Amino acid sequence: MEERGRASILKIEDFLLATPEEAMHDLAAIQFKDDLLGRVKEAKVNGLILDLGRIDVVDSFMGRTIGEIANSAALLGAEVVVIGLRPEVAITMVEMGISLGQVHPLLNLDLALEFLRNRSRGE
Amino acid sequence: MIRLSDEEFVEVEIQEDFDIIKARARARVLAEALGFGIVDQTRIATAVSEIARNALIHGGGGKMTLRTVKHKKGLEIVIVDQGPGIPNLDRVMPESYPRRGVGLGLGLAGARRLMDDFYIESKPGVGTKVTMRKWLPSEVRR
Repeated sequence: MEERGRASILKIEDFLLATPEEAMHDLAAIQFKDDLLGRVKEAKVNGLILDLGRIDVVDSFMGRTIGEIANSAALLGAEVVVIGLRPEVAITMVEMGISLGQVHPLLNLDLALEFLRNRSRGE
Repeated sequence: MIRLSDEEFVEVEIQEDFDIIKARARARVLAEALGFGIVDQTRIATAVSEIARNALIHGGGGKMTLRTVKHKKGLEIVIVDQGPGIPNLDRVMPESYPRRGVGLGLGLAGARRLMDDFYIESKPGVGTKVTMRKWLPSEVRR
């Protein structure tokens, strides 16, 4: 089992789609946060979609890192939407008392894009 | 599915970030083989992640031992370190208000809520030992 914490970051319309490809160890998660916030600023996007569908564990560290991404992105003027959260991960997060900060949880990419398009039109 | 003997026994050294992922992946595999469902597998993997990280960051590294208990009716996880210990255990992990914790306590309190049994022993200068167990729901016991 080789897990090194790769993640992809793509631009879709005026938004970024960030997808961690596998479990991320702590340093990889911090690197992901830094890279992602750099891209948010550089690409001047007003929305960030985090796809957590491949993340099988959100512990307090990962939860805090996602929360920091969301809150920092908000300061840069980007809305953050989380999609793909697995039900068992959501259940475990709630039981542990982990919340993700200023994120809008949505079911899938279509809904996330629709939400962000509406948000940017409204501004 | 893996065929289990009556007493499975797995050890994982926790010396760097990546070992946390390795520890929780091993725990998940054994939990699945024992018959735990996906939600319990995730609870177990998440609790291991919290405690293994504590052992690495606060204990300077440690070791996880996984074993099946009571003829495969449950999974026991023991994580030990030889770190400085937790001198103020009552404060980081108050029994009276288990739904919240601060810093180190957030992970400990969270892990305790995810498992069925949770014991922590800590001696300043000697180290910390966390023992946690999850029992199979009765309907899947064989």
